[in-house]
Amino acid sequence: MNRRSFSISAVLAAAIWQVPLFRRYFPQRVQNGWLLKDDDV
Amino acid sequence: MLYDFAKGPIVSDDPYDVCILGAGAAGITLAVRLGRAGKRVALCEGGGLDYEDESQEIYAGSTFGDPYFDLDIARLRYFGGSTNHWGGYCRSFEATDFNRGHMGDDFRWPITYDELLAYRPEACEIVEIDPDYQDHVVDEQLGLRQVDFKYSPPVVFSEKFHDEIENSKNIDLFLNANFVDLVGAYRRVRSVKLRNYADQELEIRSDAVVFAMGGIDNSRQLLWMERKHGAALFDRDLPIGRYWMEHPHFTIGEALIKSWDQANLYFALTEKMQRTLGILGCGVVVEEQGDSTTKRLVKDLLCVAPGVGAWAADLAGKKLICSYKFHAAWEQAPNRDNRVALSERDADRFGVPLSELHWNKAPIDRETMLASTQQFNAYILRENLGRLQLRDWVYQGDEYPDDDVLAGYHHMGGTRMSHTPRYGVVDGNCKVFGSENLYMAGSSLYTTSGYNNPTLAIVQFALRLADHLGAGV
Ligand SMILES: Cc1cc2nc3c(=O)[nH]c(=O)nc-3n(C[C@H](O)[C@H](O)[C@H](O)COP(=O)(O)OP(=O)(O)OC[C@H]3O[C@@H](n4cnc5c(N)ncnc54)[C@H](O)[C@@H]3O)c2cc1C
Repeated sequence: MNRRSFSISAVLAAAIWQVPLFRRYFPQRVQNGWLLKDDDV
Repeated sequence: MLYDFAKGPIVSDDPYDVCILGAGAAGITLAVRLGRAGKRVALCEGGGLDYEDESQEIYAGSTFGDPYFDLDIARLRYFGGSTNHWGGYCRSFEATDFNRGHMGDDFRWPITYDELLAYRPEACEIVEIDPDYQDHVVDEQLGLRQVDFKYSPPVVFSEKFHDEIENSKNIDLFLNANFVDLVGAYRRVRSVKLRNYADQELEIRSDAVVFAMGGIDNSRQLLWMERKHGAALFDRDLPIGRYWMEHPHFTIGEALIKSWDQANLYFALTEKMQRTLGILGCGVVVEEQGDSTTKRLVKDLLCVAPGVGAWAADLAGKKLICSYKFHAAWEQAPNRDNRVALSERDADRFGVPLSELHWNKAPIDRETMLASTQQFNAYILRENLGRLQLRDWVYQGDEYPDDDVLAGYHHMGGTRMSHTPRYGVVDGNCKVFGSENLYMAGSSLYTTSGYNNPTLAIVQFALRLADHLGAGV
């Protein structure tokens, strides 16, 4: 693996880890940090 | 008796039953219990009766990894140790903490929860709290518990036990007596060497020796002994300094919640829910805020979700909804790479290398906080009690902020207990693997950290060790 593809996959791995981890636990609507129910808006 | 080594040379002839190095919560508890039981105890404290820079600067060190406090402000180095400035929050280990074998060998304690629990009433008496903890399950399905914290006045151990120690025929307290070396051979310590700030030396002979120098220096001094003496006094290649743990403490967000009549509430998840989610312990503290925060939050909620915002505004007008800040303090998974190491560059005035602390939070630590927060949120939503707003870094998956509380000043692990020298430094009796008479006291013993403050359990462990060293016979 060359240097460039390594650094891109490292960034992707970090991004993939960050987003789903939060989403895994908070699948609901989140707006400006508020944890909302669907009929709140 | 009290001997101040700052006042000039001391000669100690008679051997002691137990020599305790360090007079904080652990060392004082142990000395007093052994002394009351008729054991001859030398209690050796590096500092004096009050704060002095020359002692405190020995606690300097470097930190690597996640932001952490400077090591010389995270603890105090004089008689009473860090109990001279502790907060007094008390809650001990829970049964869950001793039931984590399913998560791997490095989560396995060599003793049972009940063995420690037996000492809780006496420990509660020492820190002057009611021993009756009233926890209850708020919601079985969501696995949400309300947990009880107790507040010690806070008891400053040096003040509470000063007179008893000074008047005791069995306890000799040596002040300004810094542990610098062990003397012995064939896995047995024969005596300890102490130095004062004028570099005079005192040697004390003892049948058993206990390190009680706090959750960082127990590791530092034991690493130093390994470097100086190799395998002469205890097994080589123990994970000394490793599996060091803290309790991450962060503000997770704020909430608008109706009809709660208490200002501070503590929540945690049940053992079953922690297992189902594959996470560790986390305490969520919900703390009431003032009217101006309520107004700000209502306004913000109205902007993003007018429906529920109008509901909150209506309740706020009738003073039926309040704002709360919620903080989380949680358990870190034991991680071999988090460790106290010896500096290769800097040493203290006695030539002992200063501490280096390598500490990072792992993905599972973040999961523990997120999953616990979500269970709490699910309860608020299902009961329609209000709404939670998370801090940006939590929902955007950013780095932890470095301007928050960060951690609890709770220094745990480093000389942890285990069934085996592969995962730990001491056995179930707090004795260093391979040694005949060298013991550890304090939260450096902890195999796992739980999410609760460490000192009540430190006292329980010290009472238990006192019994092992003969106080209970
Ligand atoms: C700001 C703050 C707030 C806290 N609040 C809480 C709380 O609310 N609840 C809670 O449970 N815990 C709290 N803690 C943690 C609590 O203070 C510690 O858990 C407790 O004091 C540890 O007891 P110990 O005896 O193991 O160590 P220490 O109290 O640190 O005592 C170690 C002793 O060893 C001595 N020593 C060190 N090196 C040597 C040497 N070479 N030779 C001789 N003596 C030596 C030191 O001078 C010291 O007296 C807090 C800590 C801090 C810093």
